[in-house]
Amino acid sequence: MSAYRDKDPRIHGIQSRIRVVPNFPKSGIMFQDITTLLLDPKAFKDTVDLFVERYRGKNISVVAGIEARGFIFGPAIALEIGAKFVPLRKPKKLPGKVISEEYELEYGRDCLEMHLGAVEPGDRALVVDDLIATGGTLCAAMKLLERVGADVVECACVIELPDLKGREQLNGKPLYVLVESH
Amino acid sequence: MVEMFAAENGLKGDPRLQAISNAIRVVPHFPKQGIMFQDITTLLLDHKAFKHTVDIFVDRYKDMDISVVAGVEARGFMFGPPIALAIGAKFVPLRKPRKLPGEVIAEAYELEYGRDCLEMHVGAVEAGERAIVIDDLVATGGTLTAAIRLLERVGVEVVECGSVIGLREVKGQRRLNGKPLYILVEPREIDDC
Repeated sequence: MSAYRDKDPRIHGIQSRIRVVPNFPKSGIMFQDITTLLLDPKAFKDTVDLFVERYRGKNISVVAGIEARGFIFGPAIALEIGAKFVPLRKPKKLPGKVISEEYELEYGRDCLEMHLGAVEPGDRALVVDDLIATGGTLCAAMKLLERVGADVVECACVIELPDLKGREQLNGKPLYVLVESH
Repeated sequence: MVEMFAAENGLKGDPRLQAISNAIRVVPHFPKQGIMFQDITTLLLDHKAFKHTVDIFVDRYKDMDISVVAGVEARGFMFGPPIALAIGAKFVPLRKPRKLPGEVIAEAYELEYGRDCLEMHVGAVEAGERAIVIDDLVATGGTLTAAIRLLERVGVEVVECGSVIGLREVKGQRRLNGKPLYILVEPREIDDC
């Protein structure tokens, strides 16, 4: 599902504020830079509003955000819909007891951690990040939440790269994005 | 450098400050022996207290003509954007090296052992803009000072730094280039928790 397809009038402003940086972090990758979106207060607000409008009143008790760009969007959404914000972090950043989930990278593996006790069984959760590419990170995030008995209602990203088919990696969980980039 | 605690600057007896303090968890000996780590993730789990935190900063800054909120990676990213959104300012992430994709300027700073570096995108801010820098905790002030320098190097006026938690300054220990520092609460002791 994407707001892009729904043609909400705010989408054009959001899409136009995203900057593409060629060959970052390496040759051949067209990096989708959301920092320019954050420089436009109206477009940034519209981005958060689109998610808030979708999730308000749906009994979402947890917004989980993936380090670090998920931290820029997640808390604002959580505050507006009355949910907890839970940061999902790279190893050794969270100070308390954690559970970890490993996932594949193009070359090698990485790991996502969540504090024990942050999320309770029965919590209805969203996972938020700036972008979905292959879906590996989002998948690890969902597994962390499900391992502690939360119900992942949806994954929400500003940008999707549909050619990388990340949507198919989400074990049937719905994905909502604002813009697509081919 | 003027250090202002909220309880002594207009918010004496405000019950929100106690709620914020109560929501912070102390984790002993993290990241190493002897450090009583002030964990704000428990504050983020308490929707009311998290909202109070943002509201206090928003009330303070909303009429000060602030056009830039800068936040230091990564915990500054959790508090800065909601403040920026509420006051209609840009949010500018200040990041560890090689994370920002575009052209950057960098500022090195001292750690207890060694050095680190903070980067900002060229063109994110313009000369003459009025900025605040937001972080979860200020200790020596090294990171905030580097953040202030980055902004001043491109002609931005840093009006104030805002921190959720801060120790009372030991005379001369914290410089922040002479900028004012506004702190919501002092660190918790392990016995309070």
